[in-house]
Amino acid sequence: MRRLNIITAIVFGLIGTIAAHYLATIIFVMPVLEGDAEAPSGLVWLLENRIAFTTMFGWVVGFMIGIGAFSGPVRWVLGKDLTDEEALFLAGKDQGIGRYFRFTTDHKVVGIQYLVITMVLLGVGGTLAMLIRTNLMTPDSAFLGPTTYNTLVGMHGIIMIVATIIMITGPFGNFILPIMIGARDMAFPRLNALSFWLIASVVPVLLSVPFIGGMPTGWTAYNPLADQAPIGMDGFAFTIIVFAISSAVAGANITTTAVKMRTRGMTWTRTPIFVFGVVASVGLAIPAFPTFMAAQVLSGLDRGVGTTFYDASGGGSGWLYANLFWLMGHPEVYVILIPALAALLELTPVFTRRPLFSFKAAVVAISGIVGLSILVWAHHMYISGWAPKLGGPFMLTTEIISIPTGLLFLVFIGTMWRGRIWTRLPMMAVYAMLWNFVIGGITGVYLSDIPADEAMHGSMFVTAHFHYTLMGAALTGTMGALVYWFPKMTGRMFDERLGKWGFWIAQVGFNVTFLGMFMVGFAGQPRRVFNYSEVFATGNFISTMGAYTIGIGMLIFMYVVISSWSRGAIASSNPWKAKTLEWQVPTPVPLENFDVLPIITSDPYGYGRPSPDLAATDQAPKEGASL
Amino acid sequence: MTDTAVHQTEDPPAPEPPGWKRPEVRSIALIWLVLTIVGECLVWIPSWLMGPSASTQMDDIKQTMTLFTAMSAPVAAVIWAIMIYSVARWRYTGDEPPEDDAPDFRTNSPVVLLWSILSGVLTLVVFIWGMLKIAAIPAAGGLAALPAGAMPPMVVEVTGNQWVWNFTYPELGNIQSDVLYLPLDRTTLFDVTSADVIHSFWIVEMGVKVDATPGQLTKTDVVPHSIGSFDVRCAELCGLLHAAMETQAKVVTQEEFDAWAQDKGAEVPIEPAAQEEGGA
Amino acid sequence: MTMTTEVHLHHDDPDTVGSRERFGVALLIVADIAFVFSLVFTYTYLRFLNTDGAWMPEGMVAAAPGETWLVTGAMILGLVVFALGARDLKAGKQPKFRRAAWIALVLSIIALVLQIQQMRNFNFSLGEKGYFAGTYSSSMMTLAGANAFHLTLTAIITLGMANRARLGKYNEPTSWQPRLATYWWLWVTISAVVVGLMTTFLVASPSLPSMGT
Ligand SMILES: [Cu+2]
Repeated sequence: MRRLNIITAIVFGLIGTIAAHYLATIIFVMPVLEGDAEAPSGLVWLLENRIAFTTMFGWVVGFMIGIGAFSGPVRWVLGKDLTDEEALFLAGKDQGIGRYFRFTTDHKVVGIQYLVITMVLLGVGGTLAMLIRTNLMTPDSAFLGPTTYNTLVGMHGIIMIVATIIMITGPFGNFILPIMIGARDMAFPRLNALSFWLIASVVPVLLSVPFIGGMPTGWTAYNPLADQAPIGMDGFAFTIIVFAISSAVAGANITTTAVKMRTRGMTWTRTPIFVFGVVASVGLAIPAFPTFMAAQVLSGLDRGVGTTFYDASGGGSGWLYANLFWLMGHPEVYVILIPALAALLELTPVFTRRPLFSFKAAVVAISGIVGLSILVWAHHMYISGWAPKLGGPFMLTTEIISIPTGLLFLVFIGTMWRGRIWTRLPMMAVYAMLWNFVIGGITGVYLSDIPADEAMHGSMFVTAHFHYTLMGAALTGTMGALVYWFPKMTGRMFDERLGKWGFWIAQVGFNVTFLGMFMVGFAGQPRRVFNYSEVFATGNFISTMGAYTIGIGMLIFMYVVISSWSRGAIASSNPWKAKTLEWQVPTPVPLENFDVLPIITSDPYGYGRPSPDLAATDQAPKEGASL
Repeated sequence: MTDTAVHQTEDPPAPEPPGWKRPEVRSIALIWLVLTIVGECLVWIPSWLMGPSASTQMDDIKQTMTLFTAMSAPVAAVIWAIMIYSVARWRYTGDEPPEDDAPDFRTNSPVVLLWSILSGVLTLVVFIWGMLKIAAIPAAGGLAALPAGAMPPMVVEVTGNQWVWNFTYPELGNIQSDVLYLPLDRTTLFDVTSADVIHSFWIVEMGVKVDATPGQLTKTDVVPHSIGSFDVRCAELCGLLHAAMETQAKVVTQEEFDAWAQDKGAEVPIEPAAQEEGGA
Repeated sequence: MTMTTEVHLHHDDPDTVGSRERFGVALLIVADIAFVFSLVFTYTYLRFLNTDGAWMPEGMVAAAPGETWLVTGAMILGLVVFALGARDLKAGKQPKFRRAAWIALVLSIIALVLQIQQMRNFNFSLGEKGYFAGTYSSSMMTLAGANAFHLTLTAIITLGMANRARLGKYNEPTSWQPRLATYWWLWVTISAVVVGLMTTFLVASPSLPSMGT
């Protein structure tokens, strides 16, 4: 266990890959060859997919063995539980930088690991966006060609979806949340490491998709189109399956931590709103993502075993896929959005020096959105014809969501109302998010209403709309959250002087890009096209120029993240004078966060009082949690 | 302005009532009004961008767009007005957090209530509007009611193939075409399906859109009310040449249509439509 | 617990850890419920659609439910034995739990073998080698496979339980650990019963074939 790290993981992964490929070839192909000399082409196709799946499985299993993920379960079965010393080793004690490259259980290490992988994924996804927009600069561009273009659109989609799903709950849900609730670690530290390393193991599979035939389907991977696709599609399906397992594990872990491990005195009304947002997100993912996983399992079976779930001539239906997909697909939007908004809700009081406006409304809004989100999936299928009679009911549930969403807006502007608005970059992210999310929210109402969706479905309008919510609101929120928690996580201040240039350039570029896209969407340009009619030329050109502007802004921002992380000014433990617990512990945060667990007597929003009773102090009475 | 800290002694929910006479409320209301007026002046843009309409349901759709935009303007203006005002007048710049905190009121129940009710009302309006219009938007709500006294409807079978549309006229001796000919002012029923993967049959200027799903028949209908040539596209990613899956919908008079059908009828049967575009 | 030098490894008491782990396992079970729900939805929805009349194409014979219920019966028995054992453990009767765990392990393995046997006995491939004819056969095989996966996990967990009981790891204060395993046993058994009822009583499609292609 002590010698295992990312190098052994890769080595074992490669061994697993080769072994699995070899074994699969022997097991699946040999019997066919022995039978009749000529295997039917359909069977050959099944075997190819079966071998591809097995090979990917071999990689992930080998990788996970090599990183040491299985040693815990095996030792549990054998009855050899961890000693204290081993547990401390696993937590990364005294290992310096090396602990970031192994199966480390310390939630702060996992948080940083998630942060890095998120930034890598966003970087790759963003680069693909640049390529896509370059192709779309002119109507008849041959820059990428249809095959590459379709693959890159799908890759951009799924990479960004994965990245944005984990971008708040991964880095900040892991690093910040346990400290915020006064816990020494997550409820299940080893599951925590497992959730990260599962993603780390499957990212190479995902990135290999373009090199093993690509995928022509977009990230939605609709069947039966996916059924025709080359084995790149298997890479996609396999990625989703592993990612769903990772999310379930992370969801169970983070939810349990937040529900069961809040320190003494931290009642629900004294729990920071960010915790609600994260729990809503990962909690919602627990029931939602398995349906996506099931959709991909069935897809894999169709491709590799010869079932006919999505094959109409065999009794299957694309409507089945669409239902399973969107049962996950709509909650997933809120899985992405809610924690980012919650992070901004958390930091707004700090920068307005006001209590959070109507904490209750915020909690009701978050719960309302979560509750409703599982009842709205079929609004993605208004025009599919699968159940015309259900259009009305789904329109109702969808539109009711605008009420809790509206409440969230009220909480934001209520907290800003008459505040001392300290215009640091995190607060600027709140402003940018509000601007973007107003547009994203309103265009969402258009799409929720069947008459408008009839015209806009499947057009660039939809693309622009969800970028306004997922990028304009959620990613902007994440940038704010990163700058806000940067001092605690890295020990250094984020250089706002240059950083805000990157931030605002990206915001301006963003609005240019997607306003251009709204234009061509209204005019009737379909989504996911590599060429388009001359009438859409102007809007697309504007979009591409905007996209390059985003690119420049994001590059500056990324540069500032890296340069500040490596040589920024050393941060004090509480540079924003915030009141949540994570700012009350020293920076860098010690291994188990708190030597003595704090006791909470009020919520962390007590700004604007003569003698603010801090949420907690270091001098909290001794609490007997240590044995 | 009294934006320094107002310290309440006990019990947080000490309300600072909205106070309509407070200067910031008046200023924000003014900004809101200006933004709203500007917004209302721009409500024609979506409908304009959507181009000409070739059917009553497209008229309905464009009307919906304009209505929603008109309703959105004041809503967006509330948020943006407060954003503009707050950053202009309540701003604090400095490297250290401000010494003096802001007022510590924690909620304002009348405002929360009013806000919720207003958003509920807006939601209801949007929903009721949608339900009223569903009757005219056949793909989602079943077939539209036939206009009284119109000619009997004509059926067109639409088949999506990778990557061409194929139209069959079963009542006209199963003539086939890769360009959609439609007679003016006559109800056309579309029986839509697919031969391979999911496509989405979209006549842009007519507001007609319904998925073409293998193994299933989906139905929609339309009454074209303008003569001309309109765009048929595919609205669901269907593989390599999804972008090129386009053709024309030509709306002609009944006489011209009959003449075309007779011409076509002579050519029956036709092999599945080839890649070529343009008229027959 | 011995504490050494500056190393502070804090241990929470077993009750706290127990309630935490029960909560976490319940959430993981929720995820699995969602997965099984998806498969049940798939079965019922495709049966309802009967696209092209290919839910059960002509000549397709429904699987005899006997084998399904044999598997499920073994699971119910295993659940009962294991749950009673866990209760004994709570009452301090460690040897009784030990015996129950071993019996439950054997039962889970029997169920697994029967399940695999059923999958081998399915006579579904009417067409080309390696293909499934229709969605009934596809769904049946997938549901059986999911149950086999459940049983594999169950067997591993129960093996751990039995072995750890043998090593004397479980006593009254740590009896929550076997209780966690009981939750899992309970869920997989319920899922087998639900799927068994569905595949026994909802077989032929109620719908006429929709249009062919
Ligand atoms: Cu198409």
